[in-house]
Amino acid sequence: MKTGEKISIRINGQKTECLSGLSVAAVLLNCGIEGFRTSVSGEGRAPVCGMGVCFECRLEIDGRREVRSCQVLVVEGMEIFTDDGR
Amino acid sequence: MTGADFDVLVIGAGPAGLSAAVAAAENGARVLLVDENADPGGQIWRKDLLDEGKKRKRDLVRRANDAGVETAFSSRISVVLDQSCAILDSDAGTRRIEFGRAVIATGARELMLPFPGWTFPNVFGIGGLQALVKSGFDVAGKRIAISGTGPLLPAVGSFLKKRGARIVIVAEQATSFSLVRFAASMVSQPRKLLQARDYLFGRNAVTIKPNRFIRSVRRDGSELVLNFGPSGGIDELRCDILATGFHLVPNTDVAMAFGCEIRNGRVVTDDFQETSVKGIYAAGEPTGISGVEGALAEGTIAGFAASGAHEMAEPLFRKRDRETAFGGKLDLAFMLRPELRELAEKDTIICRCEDVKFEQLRNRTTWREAKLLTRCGMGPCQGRICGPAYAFLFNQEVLEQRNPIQPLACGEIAKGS
Repeated sequence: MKTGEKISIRINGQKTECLSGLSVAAVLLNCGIEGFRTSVSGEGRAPVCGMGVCFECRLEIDGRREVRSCQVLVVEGMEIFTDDGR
Repeated sequence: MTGADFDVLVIGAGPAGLSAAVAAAENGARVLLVDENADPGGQIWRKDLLDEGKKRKRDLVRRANDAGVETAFSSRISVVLDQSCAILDSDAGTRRIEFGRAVIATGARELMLPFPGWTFPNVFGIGGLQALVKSGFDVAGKRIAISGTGPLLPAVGSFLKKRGARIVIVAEQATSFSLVRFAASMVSQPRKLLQARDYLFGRNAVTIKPNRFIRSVRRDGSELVLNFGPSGGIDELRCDILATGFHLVPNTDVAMAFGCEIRNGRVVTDDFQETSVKGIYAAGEPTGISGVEGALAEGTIAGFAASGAHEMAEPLFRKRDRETAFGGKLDLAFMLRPELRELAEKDTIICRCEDVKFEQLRNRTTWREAKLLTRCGMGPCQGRICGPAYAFLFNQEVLEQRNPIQPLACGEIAKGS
């Protein structure tokens, strides 16, 4: 039930250590990332609803685009890209 | 019962869905319980990495397992084909499922109202921030401001304080008169009073500032600078995070897809929680916001009725009706003040998906016209955030969208149907 073991993932190509069992959104917030996606008028956006409704936290996870990061848990080796990280 | 895959499909695994699944399965039905999240509990009982959770939740989950409830987590009903067939969508692909009856227990979401700066990073929904913290977002040492309305404000404030945050303000838009009247009306609800006592006087208590509401936010480096209404109240306040929420909106999208009658934004149900569509039931917040006790009662009634045990549902009517009355008290106490309609300025974004601004919307006569001419509500969230805000700002009716309920690749629709 407690947070799991130390794992390593890549955020915008950069290796990052975190604990397994956390949501991808939580890990990025803990890293201080503010722009998860870039809005149609160019604003950086970050999680709002935390429950899969607003789609503001969407980004690319393991090659799948437009994934809601609040709904996905981090696993070892995960590859994450924000919109402006490409 | 039938040749279908399942006797009862339960959509949503919060208190209402869990109790419906348990009631139906313990009554001998083959039940499939579907939820979009990775774990049961819904929002109110969402899995917390640092806390094993409420005993009532664990008991229900155990009973569901013991009764043989089949589960599909991280899965969504994305298309309703008819009243006994739907497409279930998950990472693993799509699957067509057939069922005898269905219980819709899709919960609620927060009402987010637009104000200048509400699209900045570090501005969250109140329940949204709590969900993110439960899933590992570390707020220790952060200065957090809370503004909005309803019982969620002190509850989440107290939760965040326990996680090491500094709560700089809990601004409740309702007047102190309204709050006192609400508290006085709660004397018959000891469980709720005990909870309130914890949030307001316990170890992690927070102080509510009534008659205050967020008016705008600007950024100064990494800080948020907040301005509150009404005028002449507090000057600027600085913080790291702002959480806002103006009470809850029933999720009626799945019910709409089934063709159920919706009135005043709520799914219409009879005594047995059956909707206007025969064999389709609704329980919990989709039928109106009345909290966890109401959801448990409605879910149990729906589960019994959907599995044919109407006589077991009837004794629960009284409890259910008392809890629904609580919902009415909430609506009255936390009614939104008209000034909240004036917060958005002409260039304030209303639709966050399509970046549609207030000035593009203010002369539209219907939600449909707004959608067609400005793309408001046409992005990935399909108006789930801006729709209720639009309805409040412009006093127009906004109905939720139909099939597909969630964005889905065309190939997956073809495979599933």
